[in-house]
Amino acid sequence: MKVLLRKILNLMIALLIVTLLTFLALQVIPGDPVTKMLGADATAAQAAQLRTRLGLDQPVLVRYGRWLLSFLKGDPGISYSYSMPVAEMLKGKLSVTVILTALSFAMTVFISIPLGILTARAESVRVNHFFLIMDQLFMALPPFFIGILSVYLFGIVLKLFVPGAYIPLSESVTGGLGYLLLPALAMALPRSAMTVKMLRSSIRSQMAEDYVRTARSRGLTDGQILRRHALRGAMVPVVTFLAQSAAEIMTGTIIIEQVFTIPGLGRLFLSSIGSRDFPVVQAIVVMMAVFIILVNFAADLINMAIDPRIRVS
Amino acid sequence: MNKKSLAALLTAFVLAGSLGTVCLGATTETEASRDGDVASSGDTGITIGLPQDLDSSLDPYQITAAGTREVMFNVFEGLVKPDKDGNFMDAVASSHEISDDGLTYTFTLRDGVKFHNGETVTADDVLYSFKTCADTTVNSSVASALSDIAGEKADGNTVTITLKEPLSSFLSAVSSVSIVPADYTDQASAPVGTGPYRFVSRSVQDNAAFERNDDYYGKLPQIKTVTCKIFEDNNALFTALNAGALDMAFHLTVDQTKNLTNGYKVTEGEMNLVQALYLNNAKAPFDDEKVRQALCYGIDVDSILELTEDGYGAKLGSSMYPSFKKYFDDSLTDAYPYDPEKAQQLLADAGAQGLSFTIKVPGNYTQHVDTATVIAEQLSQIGVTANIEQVDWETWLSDVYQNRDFDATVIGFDAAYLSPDALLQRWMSDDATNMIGYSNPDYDAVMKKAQSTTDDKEQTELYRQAEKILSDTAANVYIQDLADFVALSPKFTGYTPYPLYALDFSTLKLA
Repeated sequence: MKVLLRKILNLMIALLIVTLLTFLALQVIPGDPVTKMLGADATAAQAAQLRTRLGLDQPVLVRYGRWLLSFLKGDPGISYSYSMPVAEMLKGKLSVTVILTALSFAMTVFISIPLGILTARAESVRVNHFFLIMDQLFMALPPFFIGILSVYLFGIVLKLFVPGAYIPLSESVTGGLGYLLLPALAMALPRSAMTVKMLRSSIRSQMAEDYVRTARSRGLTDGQILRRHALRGAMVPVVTFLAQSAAEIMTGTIIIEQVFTIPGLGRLFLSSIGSRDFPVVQAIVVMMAVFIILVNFAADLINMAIDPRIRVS
Repeated sequence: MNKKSLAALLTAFVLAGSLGTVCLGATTETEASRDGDVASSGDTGITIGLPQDLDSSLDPYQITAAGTREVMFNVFEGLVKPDKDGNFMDAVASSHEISDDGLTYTFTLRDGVKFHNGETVTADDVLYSFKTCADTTVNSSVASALSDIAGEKADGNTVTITLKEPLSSFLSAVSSVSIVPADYTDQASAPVGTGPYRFVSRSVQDNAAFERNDDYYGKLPQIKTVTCKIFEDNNALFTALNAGALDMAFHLTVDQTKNLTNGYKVTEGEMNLVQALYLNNAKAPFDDEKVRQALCYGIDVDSILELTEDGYGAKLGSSMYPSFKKYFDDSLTDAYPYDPEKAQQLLADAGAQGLSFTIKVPGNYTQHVDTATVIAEQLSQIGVTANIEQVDWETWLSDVYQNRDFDATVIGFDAAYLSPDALLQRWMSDDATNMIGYSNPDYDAVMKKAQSTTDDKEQTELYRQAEKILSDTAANVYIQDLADFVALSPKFTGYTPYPLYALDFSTLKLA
């Protein structure tokens, strides 16, 4: 219980710092949301009026304080560039991004864990080399590049899907998931390659431990040892790494959504920075930060379950 | 915790996550899908790709982006509206009369014109629209035209407007005053007008849907539903177009049309933009006319057209583009033939050899960046160093447009409404949007006279004179009206180009 409270306190402090930094960053860059809303030719009086209405005439810290207060009350404000409540705007976008992240993360887990175990047990030098090369190759490919390649190959050459024609899940679950398959895979491949590498070396180092030798002397086969003992220990660093991967995938959607023209949080995030739409940027930053912190917390809990010696500190 | 419960925990995590999101997705997307159903169950629908999202506010008086204006052209109408040749035809008014002294405008309202909310347009709505527009519009030229109104009165279905002094562009301003229902306050999110299409819904960064207004007084369009898909990335738009996900797309580049392989029909037009190397006339070195002229001679416009647009596009010569046929003066396009020696001579005369300056250009507009790049290369031939500084759009607006903190910039100006004033007025010395700080008493005098003259011929002459002054004094280095390509699926025909930003859905039909 104490641990949980400490975690929540940490989360709060982290969020406070993250939001303050985002806020300050948006003050430093030139450009003005008012110009974006009124156009270049509005009169000074119109601009001043809007500035007052949005509260932009107040000092920076007052504005941050006001935003923080209303955010804590559960109201993230009104978008400058779309004149609609941020919460309402994000609802539809959030589900797209979360599904994309979940899909990509699931792919990473289901690709990398079996492959990691398989490659750890491979003894042939050739097979090992092959896996090593594939690993390096996929690790080196950035998701956006895989994305662009697959848009070209599957979309334009093979015509397996229509680029830019994202189908909302509410219209067709299969169509929507089908469209998200490639972008999810584009993000999952490099992460899977990294996880495979990690799991393999982790399993191998476990298999070199003394307790494994003891188990062998008791007549257990390597397969049995792996399943019953070694895998559990080997998973600890991998779970931590997977948590990191989930965070990376979540933030990776910012770019992959551009590549595949998916109307999710990522695209909204970029354009909101462009239009200095502070309430929207801030809300998305908070959501991503919360996600990252929660995922890491979940990883800690899982590791505690795997290895009782670990205590969250 | 044993292995089984660990697995259960993991599964629970994943399931909870995905179930939660699926439910969320289902509830939040229902509205959109209902709109989608309307779109697919109608007789004929068309899907059009837009290269940017619509403005935050769809209130006709708050629209700032040309890209929003050209779409909302279908929803809103004034008492009169422009046709494809740039003439004004009666819209909400069935006839209009202008008194001989140019001071009194009398409009007779068309019988039984209905707003999209079903209410009938009354003279009160018209008066409300003029007042609201005058008070709130963000379009400075319309605001300044409306400030000339001395009095408005309604009598039955006749509206009479009297002006303080004759204003030649007044009818264009009238066409920009969209007629809206009195005291309706939701225009920003649920716009209501009288046009051939009514607004159905929008989803931020995703789409905007329109439906035929079956109560329209004019000829009913053939296409029942129009869905605009929004792509903020031009390449993504092109990919979708080429894959057949879109029936139509506007503002394509030469390169894109060359790479289009799906058999769509491509129509060439012009963007209706005045692209120029705009020079800060208020600041050294460009406060010196000789230096400005030197740049005009030192820049080879033909080769810019060749290099950036494959020879498409149209040369300009002044702040006017060719679609304004009546006012465009073709002879100005060659006022400064490419002559590097003369350029160097002029620079020497002005004592400005080895000139070095910065071109601030908004990096999101590739066509302007390309032009700036070619200009910098050409200028290096005459010993002038032009450094290109790419800035983002917001920065450009605040630094260049508002604070006028720049040496030179490449940008395109469009006409916010159909009058030469929309392009020429901004260079009058006291105009708030005179970004380059151009100050020339001769120009001001000619423009004032043009705006108050009622004789059409004389007026046209005066506007042309104003253009010539801009050219003679080398206010800017005028480059081109960029080529603009439209691609339309062979399933449809009827695309109609306008001399201003307007995408007319109503003329589209099945082939």
